[in-house]
Amino acid sequence: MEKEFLDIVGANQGIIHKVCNIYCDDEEDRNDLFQEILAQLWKSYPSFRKESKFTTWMYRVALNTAITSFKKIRRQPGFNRLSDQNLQIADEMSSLEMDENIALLKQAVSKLSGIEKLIILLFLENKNYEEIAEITGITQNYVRVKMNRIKKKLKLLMTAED
Amino acid sequence: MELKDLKKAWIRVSDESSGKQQLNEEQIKAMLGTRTKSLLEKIERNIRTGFVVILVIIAAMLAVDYLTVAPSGMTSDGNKVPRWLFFLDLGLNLLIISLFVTFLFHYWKIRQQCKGVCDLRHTLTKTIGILTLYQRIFTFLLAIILLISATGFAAGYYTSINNHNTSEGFFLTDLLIGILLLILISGLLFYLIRWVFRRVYGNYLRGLRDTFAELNEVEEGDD
Repeated sequence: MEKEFLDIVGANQGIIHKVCNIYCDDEEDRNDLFQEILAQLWKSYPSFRKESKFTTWMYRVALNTAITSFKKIRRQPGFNRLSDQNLQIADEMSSLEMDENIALLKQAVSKLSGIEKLIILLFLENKNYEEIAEITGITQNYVRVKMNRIKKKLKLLMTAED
Repeated sequence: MELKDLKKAWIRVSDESSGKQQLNEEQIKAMLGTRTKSLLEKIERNIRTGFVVILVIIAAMLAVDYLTVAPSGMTSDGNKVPRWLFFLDLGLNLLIISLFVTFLFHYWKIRQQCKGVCDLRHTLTKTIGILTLYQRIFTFLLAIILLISATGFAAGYYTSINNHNTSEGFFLTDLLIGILLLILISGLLFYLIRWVFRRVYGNYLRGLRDTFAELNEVEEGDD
């Protein structure tokens, strides 16, 4: 089972990196969270019943772990700090290499709340409403409503930043 | 630029970035080997350990009571142990055991809410529920321990009055000092431990509740 797990997680590890990049500021925290998510995936793997796509299941575990991470939340003076964190999508890349619009989007997303960030991440990663609803536990209808709100908010934020 | 185009650009950039962070199989295996326990796993371990330790202490106390005092109903210095003290001891021990049983029952009920990997809403409900329960049992246990020390004080005082001839003045001063000390020590201990608990878990629990409220806001705030 270990070999199977390593293969499948290794092939989809980008998901964990993306979640870590969004929720952690520095490399040490990112590594800690990566390890925590990996441990949770390993622990939960026997219960994966293939009822949902592996990537959806992986997003679910990764996002649950990131949002409820004890180490991360405990260090924060209040939950809002989660909203103020900067996205570190391509921190190794220089700003020159980054598309200007992506930089704007990155800045705008960093101003969203924790849950909004989670929803927009899944949306940007091409997840449909059904999958987002499956991961968050809210209905598809409300995901859609929330998504419209976030889009408007992002547009406003990006215009303001421009 | 439209959001649809931004989406494509985002995927490209985030894929590039996570591609740079890729780990090989050996590195992932090494990470799994050094994995630490999650908060809930640690809480479960603490509960198990606490439960065993308290049961052992209670069993040891009962054994000492039965082996040394109960057969004759007398203490080592020849004083008669009042019967109500036995019942009080027994009652407090039963209170601790029933507290743990209640806790285990509620804990089991919370865990049964969703098995395996739950969605975010259920994960938050579960984590908040377990932590709140943990906080409650901790406070109750603390209160019971202080109750035990208070009854111990009362029992000791009662025995002292029964076995020694004390003048009225001496008795009253002693009683007042004793009660004052008991209140002071108990109060300090209670608030100190509660403060430590809140410092360790308080911010975390608040953060989780805020996240949960935010998630519910989506459901309740829109229509």
